[in-house]
Amino acid sequence: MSFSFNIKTKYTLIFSGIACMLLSLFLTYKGILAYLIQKKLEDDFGGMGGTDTIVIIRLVLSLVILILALFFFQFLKIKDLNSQKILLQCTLVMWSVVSICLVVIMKELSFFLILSLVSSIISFLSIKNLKKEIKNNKLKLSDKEIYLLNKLANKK
Amino acid sequence: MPFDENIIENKAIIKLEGDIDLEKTEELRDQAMQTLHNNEALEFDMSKVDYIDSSGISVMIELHQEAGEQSKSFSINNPSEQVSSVLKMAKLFDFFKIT
Repeated sequence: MSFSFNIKTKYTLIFSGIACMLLSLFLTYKGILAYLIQKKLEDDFGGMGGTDTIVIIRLVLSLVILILALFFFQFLKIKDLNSQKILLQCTLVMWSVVSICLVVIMKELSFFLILSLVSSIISFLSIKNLKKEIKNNKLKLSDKEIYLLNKLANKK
Repeated sequence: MPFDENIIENKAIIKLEGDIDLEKTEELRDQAMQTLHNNEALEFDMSKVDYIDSSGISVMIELHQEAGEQSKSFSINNPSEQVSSVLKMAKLFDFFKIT
């Protein structure tokens, strides 16, 4: 039995974009939560003031991932298949690294671990599909090429 | 020589493999023209060609015509499915002598 998954590049990019937005929302939530806890502790017990490093890291990371999500949606405009292939290869590497990091550092975030693993698999399948598409496109000749070849063949 | 060549009794066989595209056609043209000049017949073994583009086909057209002018023979041996498909698409499958 053979399975074939024809996952188009645009679906992979949309999925990656949504996954990034979810990750960004989660980090924003965690950042705000850390900020509120810090503020409460400062109000109750007094403190030196200033913002905790963990709050800054979470919010900055959240912003970076949000920008990345917007990039994924912008990448939908790219029509060139070879550029799409490079893009998907980078996406695959990115999600693989995120998956490994989540396994090593934060195993408790199982939802995001599954999300990144699914994104990696989708990217991988999409690359395979795109390679087939590129190969099929290579086997085509344009009308102009056919015309010129026939002209060359009949010139003598 | 960039392409494997086998000569038997004035008949040269050039074995082509992989992609025959713009990167290779100049070398192919030079080698094949020289080989055709030195022999009575030239054959392209294309059984292992994965891809051929319009520049590759144009070299074959030139060789076919050159062979005709010199009263020599040029043919294509065992074209791969991809080569046959492109030749049919270009409506040149019957133009060449295919064995």
